[in-house]
Amino acid sequence: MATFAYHNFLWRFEFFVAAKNLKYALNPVSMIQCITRNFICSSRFLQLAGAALGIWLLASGWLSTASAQTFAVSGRVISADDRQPMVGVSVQEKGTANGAVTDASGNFRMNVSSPSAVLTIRYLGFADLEEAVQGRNTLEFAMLPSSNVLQDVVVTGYKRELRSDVSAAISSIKSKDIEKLVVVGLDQALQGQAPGVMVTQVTGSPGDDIAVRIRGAGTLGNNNPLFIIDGMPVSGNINMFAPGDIESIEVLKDGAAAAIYGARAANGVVLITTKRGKAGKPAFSFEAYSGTQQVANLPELLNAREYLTIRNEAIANANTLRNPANQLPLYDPAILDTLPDINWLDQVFGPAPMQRYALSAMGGSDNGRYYLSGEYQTQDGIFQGQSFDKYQVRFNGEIGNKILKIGNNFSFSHTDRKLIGASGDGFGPGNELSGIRYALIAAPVFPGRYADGSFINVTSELGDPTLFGDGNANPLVFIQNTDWTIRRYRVFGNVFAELEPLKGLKLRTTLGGDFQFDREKLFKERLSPAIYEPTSLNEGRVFNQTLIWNNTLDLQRTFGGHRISALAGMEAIQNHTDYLGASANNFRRTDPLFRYIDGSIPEALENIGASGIATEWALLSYFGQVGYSYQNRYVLSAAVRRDGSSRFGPNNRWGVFPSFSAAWNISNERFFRNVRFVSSLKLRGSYGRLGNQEIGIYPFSSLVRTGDRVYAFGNQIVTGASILETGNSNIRWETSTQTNAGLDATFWDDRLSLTADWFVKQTDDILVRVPTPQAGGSQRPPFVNAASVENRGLELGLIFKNRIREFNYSIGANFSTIRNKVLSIADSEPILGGFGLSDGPLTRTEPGYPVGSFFLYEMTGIFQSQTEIDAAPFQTVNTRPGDVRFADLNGDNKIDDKDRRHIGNPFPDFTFGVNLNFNWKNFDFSALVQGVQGNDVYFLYGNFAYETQLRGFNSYRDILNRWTPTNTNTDIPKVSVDDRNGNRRPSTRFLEDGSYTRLRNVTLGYNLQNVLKWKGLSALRIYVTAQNALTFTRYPGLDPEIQANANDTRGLGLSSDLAVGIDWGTVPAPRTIIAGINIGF
Amino acid sequence: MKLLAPLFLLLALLTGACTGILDKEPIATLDAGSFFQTETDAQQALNAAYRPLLFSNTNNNFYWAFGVVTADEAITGGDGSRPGITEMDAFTYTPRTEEFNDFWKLQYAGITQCNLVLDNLPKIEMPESRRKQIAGEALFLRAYYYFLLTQVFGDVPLFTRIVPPDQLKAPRTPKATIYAQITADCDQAADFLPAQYPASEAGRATKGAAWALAAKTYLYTQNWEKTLEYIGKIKTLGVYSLMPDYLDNFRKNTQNNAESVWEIQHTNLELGVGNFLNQWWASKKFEGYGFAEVTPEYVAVFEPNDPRRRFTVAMNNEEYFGVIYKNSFSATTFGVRKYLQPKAEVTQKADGDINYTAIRYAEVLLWEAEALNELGRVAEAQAPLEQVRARARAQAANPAATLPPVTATNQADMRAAIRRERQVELGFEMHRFFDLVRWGIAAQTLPGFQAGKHDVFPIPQSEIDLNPALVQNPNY
Repeated sequence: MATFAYHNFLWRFEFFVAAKNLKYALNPVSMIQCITRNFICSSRFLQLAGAALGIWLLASGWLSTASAQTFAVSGRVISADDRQPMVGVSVQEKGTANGAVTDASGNFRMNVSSPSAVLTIRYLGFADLEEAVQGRNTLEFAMLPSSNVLQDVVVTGYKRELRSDVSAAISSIKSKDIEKLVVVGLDQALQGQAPGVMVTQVTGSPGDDIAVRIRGAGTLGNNNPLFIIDGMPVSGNINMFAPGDIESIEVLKDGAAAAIYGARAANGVVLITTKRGKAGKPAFSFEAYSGTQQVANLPELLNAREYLTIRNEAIANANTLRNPANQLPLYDPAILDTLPDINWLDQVFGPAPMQRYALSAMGGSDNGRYYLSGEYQTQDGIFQGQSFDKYQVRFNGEIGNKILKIGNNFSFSHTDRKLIGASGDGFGPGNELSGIRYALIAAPVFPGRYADGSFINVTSELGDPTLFGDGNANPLVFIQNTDWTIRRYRVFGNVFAELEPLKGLKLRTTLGGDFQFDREKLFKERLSPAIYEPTSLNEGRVFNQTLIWNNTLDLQRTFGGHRISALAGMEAIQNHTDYLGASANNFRRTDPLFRYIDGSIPEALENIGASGIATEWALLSYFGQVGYSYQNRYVLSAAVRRDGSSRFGPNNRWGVFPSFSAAWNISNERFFRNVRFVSSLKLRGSYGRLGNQEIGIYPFSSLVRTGDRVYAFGNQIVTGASILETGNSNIRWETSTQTNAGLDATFWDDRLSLTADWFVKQTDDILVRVPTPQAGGSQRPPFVNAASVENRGLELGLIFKNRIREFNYSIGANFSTIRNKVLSIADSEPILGGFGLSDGPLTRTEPGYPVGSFFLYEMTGIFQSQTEIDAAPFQTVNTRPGDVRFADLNGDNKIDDKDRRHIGNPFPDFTFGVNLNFNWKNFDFSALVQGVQGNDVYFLYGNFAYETQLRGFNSYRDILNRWTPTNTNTDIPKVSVDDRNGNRRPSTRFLEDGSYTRLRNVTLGYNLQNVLKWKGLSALRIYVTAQNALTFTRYPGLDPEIQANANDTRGLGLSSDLAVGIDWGTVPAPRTIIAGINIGF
Repeated sequence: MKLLAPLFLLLALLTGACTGILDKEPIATLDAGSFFQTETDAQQALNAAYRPLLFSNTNNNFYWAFGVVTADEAITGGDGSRPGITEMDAFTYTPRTEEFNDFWKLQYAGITQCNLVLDNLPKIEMPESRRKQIAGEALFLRAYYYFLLTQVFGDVPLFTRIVPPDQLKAPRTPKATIYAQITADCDQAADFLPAQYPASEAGRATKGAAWALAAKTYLYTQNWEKTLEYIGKIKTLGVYSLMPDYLDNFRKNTQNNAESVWEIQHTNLELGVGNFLNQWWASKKFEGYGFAEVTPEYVAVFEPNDPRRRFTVAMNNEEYFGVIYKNSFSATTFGVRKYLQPKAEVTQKADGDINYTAIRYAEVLLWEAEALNELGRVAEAQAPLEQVRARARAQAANPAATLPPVTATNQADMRAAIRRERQVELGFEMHRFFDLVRWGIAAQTLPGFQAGKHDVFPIPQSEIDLNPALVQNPNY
């Protein structure tokens, strides 16, 4: 039956495309081939599908069978307010795909399965209606505007609650908010959707990580929130997740909301609930899209002629300060005739296709329900050599009666990621030697290929590094000579049993597992003596297993106006990670067939290495929560969690995290009934304490590294033991205390809804590695409970919904502002971050300033004359007209290190998102605008863009406006191959405004089913979407949206926020055009 | 409700039994608190203290750039990818020049590892002879690292034991105090160490090496009597002599020879313990980077037909490790030879297996000549000087007409002769810049050198940022 439907659908789909001759990017032939080749035919899929199908059939056994459609019904739908007919209202027989849509007079006509069928009537902005036919042939329905938004159900951790009973700050994103956005990953599902939640794509590379910051950077260490998918905590990259499976996302922001997650919740919690089946006949949904991504905004670089002009001027300027013996010769402009003129950015960036197909089925009966889905996605990167492929299947099922219920959530995914050089910072997988940075700086006169078409390995092969670049890779060869893939298999899910022995009392036990198997392979083909020497292969296998077991007892009682709830539970989490790695050098051949350890030249046994290690951690917790509400007016709630973590020494292992919250639904008070324009009003207040345990796995112990081959005596290698890291057995929990006050209100029959929150979040005992002088040796310094950070903020969310005849619209806006400040650091010694190039630390974290705030010299202009230099505070003996003038901030009449100050904040003044949704007849339109305002970005790559004359690199075209004796009205200093004045030192010269406003998503859809009314289909919608269509920014780099790692060389941990606002040149977010189709049947 | 009680009991039992899961210890990694148990552990920690000596590709050891490129022996060739070395050549470097930070970090890594050994040694049960041996090596290594640090930076913080992180923010210790510590450590080490090792242990610190480092320290403080006293001690060991073939000091199979007093061991058996100079210095036409290209001024110092010229510098059409050297190999036309070998001899170019003999007996003899001459014992200085010249002379094509004995009788002439001899005998062995500074003639020899500033290099800015107690060297 299912197979038949599938083929049937494909046939219809082809027919549809052919008949309408729509030139969408969807090509049905290639689509089918693609599905067949990559998905259906892979044995992996078959095995999985077999298993999943088995389970599904088992579940379907309980389902009622469909009967013939026999009973004719017709009717009319009107608006209860004005008694006008309503057009385009969906009328559906409950539990089936059988349905109809009202016409211009509000009339509908359909056949239902039996005279006792139940009809469901739905329309955007109006409350759903359900009515049994009860043998009537004619029916009339009056629809009321949407029910109270506060009546939503919210997932609050280990249970669900009514929105009206929630007294904590929780943002909720429902599937309907995102399903029209064509989100590619979870990042896009969250981005711009909820106030106080800042989402940043780390790079534009497909499948790359996202950085989520809830209510600012609360700690100096790991700021990633806790992600929980269907009750299972998730660590690491979540790019395996299928956004189509999302039922809802809840962001637990304040202390009271997150306290139930205790020691892991200090950075906020993101709860993701996947779809579950609904009682009724199977409902299928098929989604497909195809699109193309392009690079949106590339900088203009110098062409060959301009490049040579600038080089010669830089040489001439340097020669005036060099002694006669060291003079550099100028280039004869005539050599341009022998040199090419290449735009290297055009060589590495190009359009990249992406496609996604997903099929899901859901249904069930009172006794069993299922949701089954499969997804295939393939995406290339706009930067050559990157790609991401994903296969995922999910089965969520549930079987039971009124007393006992058992069920599961299960997903299997397989992702393949090819990475290369996405981020110029050179850190993180695939960024080694950073292809993007070399493409940005390669000289335009560097030909890249010999006359015979073969690649030139390195620029220095051409013999003049100061003209062709200083010996680093040809960006193309570099891309080609690196083969870095990460393949991951992940089985993720849980099984649960829920017993309800008495009404309102639920006992639930859940056993979950997250099994990840990663294969990482890095093959570097020899480029030159300087780069990738020799050819090498590094392979790693990681097996990461997290097991979780939790038990909860949940009691809900209502008597009179009193509603009481109580929850008690325990949870145990254990993780074990095994790593096995091997490496080999020198390969017989370098083609893919030989990229295995045994492909290396075996006689060189010492070139083969192996390593293996394992880590373990565990968390054991007890928690409880009580809630009380009286007549839906007064709500009180308290929760406490006691966590024990293996990451702390035996003396400080346990932490207790309490929280309290209260709410007052003023609108339910008698005295408020006369206030007509306010439909609902609720005041909330909360206080909670949370912890953070993300500080490494064995921070209490001092580790000795053994087995390194350190030296040779008598030509025999010996191993040595050195201190790797100093431990601190006294470390305590990092705790964050959060106070929140909020307001939820709706006006004019819920047309306008408003949510506002104000909070203060203070994190104390922050665990940091306080960098110590290097005179203490090279070991990493210990963690100490050393700092306090405060975040204060305000969040606003507004939604306005209305309907003007056939035009339905909603406008949502959210806004948040956060002020981040370090309150104290042990010893008051600043923590330095952002060690970029050889410029020393760019950021300095110290009390009174935001985390990772920039600490720079201030550029005040360009010296115009020697007289001006002589009158100014002393900079260097070599300062000449055309050099940058720096401010003497301490007034000692000389420019030195004491003249640096805190002068830039990497955190925005505010962030915002605007959502538009329009529905007119069969058209739907949505748009999402998202932006950040007022953050500073250190344009580190600008150092290359404007100061590369020493090394034969290309520059931004703006450099043509550099200072010369005849062009003095400029802020770009003179060019010179010797930077004797320190023009490139860390200064405000490279500090840029990182504000941007981005049209993230704009989608136009058309509901074909309303026109075609094909039998058997419940939905048929086609759409086009543009992502990142427009960006408004003054930022000169590739993309203002960056989240750099700390780039620290002192082991502060790469995920810290000590240097987030530094742009090393990162692959930008692509501009994507997508066309797609959603079919329901 | 009756159902609940047993359920709760079960829950409590199950969870109570769980607390043991929180006891997680590091797997496959050792904990320092319990590490030092046996003699082997101390030996392992000591081995790691040798590592920062290496010119390996992981060490970023730029000692050669100070001694050779900053001096008048070589100019920065290469491809500009190490701007710091270009800056050192031109005296345009700053406290931010990366190579200074690398060098600082490396020496202190060695010092910390020595202190780790010395702090833990008394706790371990082992034969007293073994304890002395290990302590002697650690003391010598610590003295050697401090000597290099002081050569480069002048005053530096002195730590003779592992200190807690909060005590690392110490001010600079005057050079004189550090020199006193070095000589005291060398004396102690010499007491503990043997004069020689079996071939399988070659490369460990010896009694002679400790005395030689002390002698060099006294030479740097112009304590000529003490210098001579320690050279006397070295000679009484009776284990050192000049090799008949100068090149024996720069060939794999003849290393750790009778002329070797303190030799840094490189091997190409594994990546990371080889000699990266093989790539740093080799011409781009010889699979290298060409970062040290020989200056014409240096070539001009050699007396006619001095065989050491072709042992040290390659010129057009000369045989060069199996190929013919061409002018195009170097921007200056001259190529360096020491510490180089063809790629065929090693697994990887960056992993050369030629050792670096930091102290050769020939140098000890030249110290002796220098000390005697500075004490006005000009005639006595002739003998050690002649010993060095005679070895070279014997290798010349026509010994009778080459390198005549120095017969100068006035101190100034003898001083000039000794200084030139050091240049030609010890060329590219990383002494030249420090010699020029110690003789006070750097400003007149090196263009761009400012006396009172460039005598020492700046303390790395990033270290000053981390330790505000450090005061920068003057004029930086």
